Amino acid sequence: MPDSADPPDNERDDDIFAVRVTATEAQVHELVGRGVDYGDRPHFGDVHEGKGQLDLFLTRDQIEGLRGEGYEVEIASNQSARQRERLGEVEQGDRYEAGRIPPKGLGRKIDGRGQAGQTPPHLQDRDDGPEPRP
Amino acid sequence: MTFLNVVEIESALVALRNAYPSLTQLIPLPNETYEHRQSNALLIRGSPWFECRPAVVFVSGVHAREWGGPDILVNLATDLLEAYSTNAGLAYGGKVFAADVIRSIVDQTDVVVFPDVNPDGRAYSMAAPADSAQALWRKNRNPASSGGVATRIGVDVNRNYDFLWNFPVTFAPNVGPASTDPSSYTFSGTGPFSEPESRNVQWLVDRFPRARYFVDVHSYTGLVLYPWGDDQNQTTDPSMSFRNSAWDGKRGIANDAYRDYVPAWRLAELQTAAAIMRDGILAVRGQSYVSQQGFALYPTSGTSEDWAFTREFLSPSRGKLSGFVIEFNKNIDFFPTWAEMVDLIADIDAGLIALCAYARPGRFAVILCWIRKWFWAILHRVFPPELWGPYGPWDRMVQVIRGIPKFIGRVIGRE
Repeated sequence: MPDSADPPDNERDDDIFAVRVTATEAQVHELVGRGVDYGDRPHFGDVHEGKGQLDLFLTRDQIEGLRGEGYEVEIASNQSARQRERLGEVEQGDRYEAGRIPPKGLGRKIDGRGQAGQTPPHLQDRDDGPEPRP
Repeated sequence: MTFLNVVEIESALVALRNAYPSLTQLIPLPNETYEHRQSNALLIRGSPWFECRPAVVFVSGVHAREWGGPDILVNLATDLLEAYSTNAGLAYGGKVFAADVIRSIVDQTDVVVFPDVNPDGRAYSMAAPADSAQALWRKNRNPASSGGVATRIGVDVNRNYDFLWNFPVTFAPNVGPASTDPSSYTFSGTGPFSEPESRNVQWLVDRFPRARYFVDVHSYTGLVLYPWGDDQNQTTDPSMSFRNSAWDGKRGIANDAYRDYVPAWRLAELQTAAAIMRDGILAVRGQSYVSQQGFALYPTSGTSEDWAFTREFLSPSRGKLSGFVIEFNKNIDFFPTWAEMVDLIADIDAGLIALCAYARPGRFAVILCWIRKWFWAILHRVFPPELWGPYGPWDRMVQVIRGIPKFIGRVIGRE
C-alpha cells in the first residue's frame, strides 16, 4: 500500500488514488451525493455493525480533506501511477496488420470429448507461431 | 503480451472475418464518434439455414478507463471460432466446454460481439496522460456541452440510454443516479441516445430481433448484475413500474413505497442466467463473483442493461431480452497488469460462453419454431397476400357479400 507520508518518486501532485473510506450507510449517501468519483457504480462492502467500506477515487488533497472530517481512509493504490506503468503494456502498432493476421485465442483447445489438457494435434504446432494475442 | 489498442481492436475483428468468412460477418456500426472513428461488431453464425436461433449480444469498452473489456470480447470471438473450426472443445482453467457444446453454440445461436463501444475515450485513456483526469477518463469525448472547457468534455455513455433518462423528474429529489453537470463523470448527455456510442448499441440490438441476452462488460468489483438499477424489484404490482409516470419523483430510495416491477418468472430467469455466468467464472480458478440486482445501495438511470430489459415491456412482440452487466476484476483497480488480465479474460470468457450454452434453444423450442414457420409458409401459399390483401379478390368478394343486403333492400324498395 503506498500510504506513506512521503510520496514515492513516481507520484504527481494531481494523481488519483483508489481508496476505501469507512462510513455508515447515511455517510455513503452523503459522500456519493457530493459527486465524488466512486468508480463504475458505488461499491459499499465489508459492512459490520452499521459501518462498511466505500470505494472512491480521490486526489491526495481530497483524501486529506476526508481525513480532516474524521473519515478513516485507506489507500489501496495510486491509479494514476498504475495507468502510467500500464502504458508500457499497450501495444503501439497493429499486430493484426489491418486484418491480415488473425488473433490467437488464449483458451486451451481440447479434444472433441472435452478432455482437459489435451490439445488437438492441429493446434499444437500453432504454439510456435507469432506471439499469441487475444 | 499487451493490451489491445484502439486500432488493433478493429483490425482483430477484420482479421477474424477474413480468417473465418463462412462463420462471421463484420457489422459496421452506423454512427461515427465525435473523433470520426467507426466501430465494428462481429457476428458469429454457423449453419445459416438454422433460422430458430436466439442472439446473444456482448458489448464492452463503454468506459474508457476500464481497460481489458475489449480484450475479453476479442478473445471470446477468437476462441469460439478457433475451437469450432477445428472441432475442438475449449478450456479455461477448470471450466471445460466440450466440442459439441462449442459446435452447437455456433450453429444454433448468433453470438454478437461489439468490443469497443467508446473508442475515442479509450484512445484518450491509453495515450500518455497530460494529467490524472486523462489517465482516469471515463466518458466519451463529445465536447458539445463543454463550453470550451476541457474538464467539461464528454458524456457517460452508460447513463445515456433511454431508461428513466430524465432522472431529475423520474427519481426522488436528492437522488443522483446520473448528473446533469457536464463536468461530472456521470453526465447523462443532452437527451436519451444523444451519443453516437449508445445509438450504435441500440442499432445493433435492434438488428437482432431474436436477441435474448445482452451483456455489457465493465470493471471492477466482481459482480454480475441484473435489472433493475433504479430501485428494488417487486413482483406483485405491474402498475408500479418505470412506465408509470404517477411514480415520478419517488424512485431510487431503498425500502420505501416504490419498487420496480418484474414478473416473478422473469426475475427467476434473470437470476438463473446471472448465476450461470457467475458459476462459469467460479469454475475457472475459484473467483467468487456475486450475482445481484443492479440496485444495491444506490440507483442508476440510463444504463444499458436496464434499457435492454425494457424492450419486453415496451415492445412485447419482439420477445424477451435479458440485460446484464459484468463488473470484472475483484480488486479495486482499473489497470490490471497484463498477466492479471490474462486470468481475467479466462474468467469472464468462461462465464460468457456458459451463458451462450444456456441460450441455445432446446429441442421443444426448435420444433415449435419450425412448426410456426411452416404454418405461416403454408398459409401464405394457400392464401397469398395478393388474394387476401385489401385490394385482392378475397376482399372484393367480402365487399360483394356485405353489399348483398343493401342491394336487396334497394330492389325491394324499388318494387
